[in-house]
Amino acid sequence: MLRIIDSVWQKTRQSWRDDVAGHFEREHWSPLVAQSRAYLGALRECLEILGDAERDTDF
Amino acid sequence: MSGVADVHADIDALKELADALTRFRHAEREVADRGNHEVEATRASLEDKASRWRFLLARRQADLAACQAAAASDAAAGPAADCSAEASAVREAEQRLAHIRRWQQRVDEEAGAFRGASGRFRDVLDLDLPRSEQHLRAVIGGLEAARRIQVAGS
Repeated sequence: MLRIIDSVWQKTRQSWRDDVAGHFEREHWSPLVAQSRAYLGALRECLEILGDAERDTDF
Repeated sequence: MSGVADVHADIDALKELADALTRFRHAEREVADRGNHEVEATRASLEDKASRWRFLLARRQADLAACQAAAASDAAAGPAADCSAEASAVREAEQRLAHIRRWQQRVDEEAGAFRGASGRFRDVLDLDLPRSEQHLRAVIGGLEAARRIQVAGS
C-alpha cells in the first residue's frame, strides 16, 4: 500500500512543483513515509519473534 | 489558456493523491491492528502451553513422590525401586516450563517495544493523515477557486 501511494505521489509531484508542494512534502509526506516504514519494520521484527516463540515451544 | 489547463491537471493529480491517502488510511488501520492481535494470540498460545506443562509437572511430581514412597517402604524388604525415570520426567517438565516462561518474558518485552511503534503509527493514521488530507483538499479548493476566476476572466 505504501508503494502504491508513493507512485501516486511521484506522479503528482511531476505536475505540482510550487512552494506549497515543497511544504507538503516536508511537513506531511516525508513524515508519513518515515513513520509508516518505521512501523512496518517494527511489525516485521515483532512477527519474527512471535513466530520464533511459537516454533521454539512446540515440544 | 495553457495556465488553466495546467491548473486543471494539477487538480486531478491532487485529487487522486488525496483519494489515495484516504484509501491508505483505511487499509493501514487493519495493518496497525495486526501486530497487536498477533501479540495477544501468541501470549494466549504460550499461556496454554505453560498451563499444559504445569499440569504435567504436577502429575510427574506426584508419580515421583509415589515411586519414592514405594521405594522407601520396599527398602526394608528387598531391593529399592528405581525412580530415575520419574525423576527424569520431572526434570524434563521443569526445563520445558522454564523455557516457555523465558519466551513469555521475551514476548512481553517485545510487545512493550512494539506497542510504542504501534501507538505512533496509530496517531499517524488517526491524527496526522486526516490533517494532511484536509490540507490537500484545502489546496485543491484554492486551485479550483483560482481556476473559476481564470475561466470567468478569460
